[in-house]
Amino acid sequence: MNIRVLMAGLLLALLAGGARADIDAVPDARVDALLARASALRLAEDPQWLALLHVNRGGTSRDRGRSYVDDPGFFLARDGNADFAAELAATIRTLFAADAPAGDGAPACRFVARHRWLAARLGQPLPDALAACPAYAAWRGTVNAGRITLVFPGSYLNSPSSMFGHTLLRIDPPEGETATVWLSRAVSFGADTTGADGSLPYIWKGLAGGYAGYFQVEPYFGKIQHYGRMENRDLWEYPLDLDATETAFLVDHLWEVQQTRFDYYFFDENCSYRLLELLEVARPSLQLTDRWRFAEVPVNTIRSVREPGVAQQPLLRPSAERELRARIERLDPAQRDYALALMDDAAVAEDPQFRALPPERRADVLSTAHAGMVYRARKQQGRDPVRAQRSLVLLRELNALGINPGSEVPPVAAPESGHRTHRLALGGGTLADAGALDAGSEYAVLGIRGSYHDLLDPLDGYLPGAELEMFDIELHLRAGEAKLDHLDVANVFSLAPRDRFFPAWSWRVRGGFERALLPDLSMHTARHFEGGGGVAWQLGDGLLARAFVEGRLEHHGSHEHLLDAAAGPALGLTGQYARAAWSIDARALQFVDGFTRGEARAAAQWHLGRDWGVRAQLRWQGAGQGSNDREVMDAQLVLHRYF
Amino acid sequence: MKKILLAAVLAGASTTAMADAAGGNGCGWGNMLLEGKSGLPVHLLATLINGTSYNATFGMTTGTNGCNTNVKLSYDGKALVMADGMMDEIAANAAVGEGDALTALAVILGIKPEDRAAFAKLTQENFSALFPQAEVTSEQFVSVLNDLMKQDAQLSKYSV
Repeated sequence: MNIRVLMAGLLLALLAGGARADIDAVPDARVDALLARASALRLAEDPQWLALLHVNRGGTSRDRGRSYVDDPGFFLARDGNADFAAELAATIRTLFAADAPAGDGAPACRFVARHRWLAARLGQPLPDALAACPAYAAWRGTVNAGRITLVFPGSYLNSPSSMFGHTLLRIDPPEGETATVWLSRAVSFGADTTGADGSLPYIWKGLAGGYAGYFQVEPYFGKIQHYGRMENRDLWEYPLDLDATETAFLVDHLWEVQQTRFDYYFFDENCSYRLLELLEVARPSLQLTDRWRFAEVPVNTIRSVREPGVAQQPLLRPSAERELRARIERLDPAQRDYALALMDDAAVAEDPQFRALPPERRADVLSTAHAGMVYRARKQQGRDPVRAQRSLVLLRELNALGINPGSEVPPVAAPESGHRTHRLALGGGTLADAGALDAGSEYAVLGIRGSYHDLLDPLDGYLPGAELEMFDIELHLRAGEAKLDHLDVANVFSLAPRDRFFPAWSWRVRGGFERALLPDLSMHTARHFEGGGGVAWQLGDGLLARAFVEGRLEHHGSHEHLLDAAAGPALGLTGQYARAAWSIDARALQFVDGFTRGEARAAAQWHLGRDWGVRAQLRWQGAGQGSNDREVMDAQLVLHRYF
Repeated sequence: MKKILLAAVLAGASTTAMADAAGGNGCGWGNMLLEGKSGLPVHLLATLINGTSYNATFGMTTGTNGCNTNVKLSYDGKALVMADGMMDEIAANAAVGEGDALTALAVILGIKPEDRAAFAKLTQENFSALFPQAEVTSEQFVSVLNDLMKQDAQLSKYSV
């Protein structure tokens, strides 16, 4: 209808000639009054207006004072992405003109949150977008918003983008309407990576902003399957303390940013940062994006909304692996054997000895076997009729018992209860050639780590057997001189204990600079990249052993080759406990040109509360080149402060 | 209202699911397939940068992977039972008469909170009828479920 009405109006205006000024003057007077009021109220500087436009108020380095939105369709003024007063004026002119178009596709139906906010601030009748905009009304019905929950799928080392975890919002139905959140909608911000880029361009584009980012609204059960089942990540669900108005406003704003293009940067303008912006739209007083950050680590996002009390005590939705481990824990060794046998052959359920077990124990075994099968099949493509039949038989046997073994897991510390993600190290040490320990040179240690956790840091809130560090630098100071001991640009270490239920592999990757014994047997800085893989075993509570094969590429100034390559075995034993952690590691490297190097380290940390620790470390390094060799020992004691 | 929902599930099952999923091409129960299309390498690549495949039908995305792309999964979830892996979840829940998948199914069918325990019990007690063989399709499942509810004094009001 709009176009016809407009055309007719235009025609009338043209025909009427002199009357046109009057037709224009009527809406203008109203709009002018609104513009004057908006100006008097300084709405263009209002935090909620800036939040609605996604203005960078200092949270990240790029494009400060401009909008993060990279999409001209989002702005009604030509330079609306930088001139927020002009955008405000253009928005008022567009939405409050007497002849403003209506219906789906019209600005009033596109910018429902802006419209509502401006009407409220300017004392105008509140627009009823549900009545005026059928497409929006249908979408709101689909989303069915009552409450908002912040969801944190935990760390996943196997994917560079998810190593630190991920965050998303979940829109839940109003209280009492449903008992399940499987039907809720998940809102996440991610890069549009459709198209075929190889792995390296992929990572590079992710870091450099080469991808466009979009908000997505998807069914939550798909997220449970993806994160909880497929990737075996715990999902932590934090109900948000937003009232009905704030919730509705956030959802209205989501409608505004649908199909709106943002830049995507892996480190700062990522999934977590955008969600903070959404929360600021709902409640600007939170001021979540005012302070600058180098990177937005998801667990810090959780902290920043937990501390003002917006996010409440979380619920844990345990990963399939955590549930399976809890089931296995309930079985004795003979019952575990039955569960494993059942995973391969459901006919074991007919075994008389198995039948002789009490029904409760049989139910535990059958449910474990079924969960084990689901776990094993999680990454398999296509349907396997044999496996399907076997799992049906297991469920039938379980069903016949009429017992529900439940799926409870032991309590887990919430991610935000863990130590903070930066670390400062202060202490001292001594470095000496073996056999000349009394002639060692003492030094002071100054270290800082960008993020985020190593095996000896306090474990609560972090994954056991996982190490993830970015920009870990350690300097040794002696006689006014600072020497770089090491700078790890990245260090990822994934120890996944292998047993009969979990045929897991462990691996590590590390790259950066470190002091080492070089082929001329001097101790100097080498640039390196190393990695390895192997097997880890759980030897007891908190106790992990590993056997790896590792490879290393090294570059240093004292040698004719550009790159030296080496390989060798590595062994390690780690204990992670509530009050302390320790590890012993050793490895040997055989370089291609005949040079050999051995390294061993014993270290222990005592945790003094959540954010303090004392670490003692003894390192040995030995190198041999032809008939010459050299050994050095290094002992240090440092205080760690997590901040 | 709830009858309309169940009718829609039945209708959806008998039209689209028949065409796309009969014969268990990744849609039937017991495919033990929790992630539809992606094998490991694709999966790794896709998650490198929190990858998403941006879909223009914002908010109404996710025709279900692998089995039924015609049915959109809306809040009332007509296609929930046809979604990848959902039948696996429902079966595992029905075997023990409890679980989130079963609750979600009850919500979709419009079953009131006070009747959900009865619904869970019904699926547990009739597990063998609901899942007679590994090749059961979502269409058969919904049809048998409807018949069972019709015969149940407490739940018949939710059947069609």
